[in-house]
Amino acid sequence: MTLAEQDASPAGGRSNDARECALLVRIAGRDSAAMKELYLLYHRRLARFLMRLTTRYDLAEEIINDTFWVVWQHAGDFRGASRVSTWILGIAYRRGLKTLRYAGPPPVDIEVETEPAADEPARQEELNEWLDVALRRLPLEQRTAIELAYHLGHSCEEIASIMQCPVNTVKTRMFHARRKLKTLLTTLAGPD
Amino acid sequence: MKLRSKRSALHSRAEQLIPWLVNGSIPAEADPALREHIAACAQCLEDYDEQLRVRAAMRAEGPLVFAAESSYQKLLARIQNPDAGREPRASAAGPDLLPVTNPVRRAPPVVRWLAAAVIVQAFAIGVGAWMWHSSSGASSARYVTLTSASPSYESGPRVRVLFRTELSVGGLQTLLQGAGAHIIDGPADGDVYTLGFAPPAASSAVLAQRMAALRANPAVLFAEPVQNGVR
Ligand SMILES: [Zn+2]
Repeated sequence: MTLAEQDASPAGGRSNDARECALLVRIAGRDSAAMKELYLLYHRRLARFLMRLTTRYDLAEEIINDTFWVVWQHAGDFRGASRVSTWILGIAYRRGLKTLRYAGPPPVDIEVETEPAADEPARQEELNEWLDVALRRLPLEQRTAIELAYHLGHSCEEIASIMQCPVNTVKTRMFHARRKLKTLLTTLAGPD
Repeated sequence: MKLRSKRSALHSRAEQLIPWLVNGSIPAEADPALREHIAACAQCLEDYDEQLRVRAAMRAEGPLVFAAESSYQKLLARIQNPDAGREPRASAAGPDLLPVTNPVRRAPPVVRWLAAAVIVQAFAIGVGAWMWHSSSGASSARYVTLTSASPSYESGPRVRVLFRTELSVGGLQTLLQGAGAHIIDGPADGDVYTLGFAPPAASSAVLAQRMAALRANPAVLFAEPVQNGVR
């Protein structure tokens, strides 16, 4: 793999943002068709993000709807200081934290049995399996940072904005998240 | 010695920046020295490749199917009847409600908003897929939205307007509604927008009234009628 081969593209992108800006304008005008369009545009990625954040499958829908309730009420306050996706993810993140505080820890901490892997290089499918387990073992802030960076493609500055912390804190969280993931993946997948 | 310290500086910078190269938020053409280092440094290249794999795994589709439509119906019920059977949880959101401001990037002026809306509007006229409609009845007497361009605006009177940069989307929406106006084109020549008017604005008395309303709005820096045939 060369450095030029990757398909790296930040989530959203300017053209998507333009479309989402226009939807927000219509939502500010109480246009429920625009609301539905934006909702459906975000539902899947928010559901995944929130499940990673909270590790609670039962809470995602409630947090998504709380998030969009805020969007519905406050679309007109948005001033374009960030991308629409950054704004919405920021609301979802804070709603998620708040809901978690009310809800307490998950009823059952799901532990996945892990078998030592065969003595071969880790394949992508294996990595996909171990990753979910490993991510659950990261502290919430590190898990959130890496999810925002890798799943949703946000920049360091955007993550700082979503998580309301300094840019350097994001860098540190990502650094530790990567390091811990490496250790966890090695442990989970067995020595190779 | 000097070469070595330069290399180690690049190495520690690469360690920090690899995630942002991997996720594309640092563009591919940026920082060629850093990319050269990664390509030549075994440790960084391994880290880079591993992060690419982790990213691919995190972006892989999971087995879960989300019932977006039924979730939306619940939200819609709440929107249509905000007081029914729900504790006021959202109202306790407090600071959540404020838009996130990025400490690093300066807030762009509202013109970016308008540019975005106009781009979409142009698209809408082309494919007709973005026609605005309202699902609510009596309360929705008439909204003017940026995406509800009607052919009647095309031939009607026009006005060139410059908005204040602090104008929010909500403020813009209210302003356009109050003036019975609609964005037709822009931005051009220093962020000037062309507005058309919702009918009836054909009579000069109605037009003068709407011009006065626009000019009276503190968010409008200037507004001038466009002469026939000139944009
Ligand atoms: Zn290196």
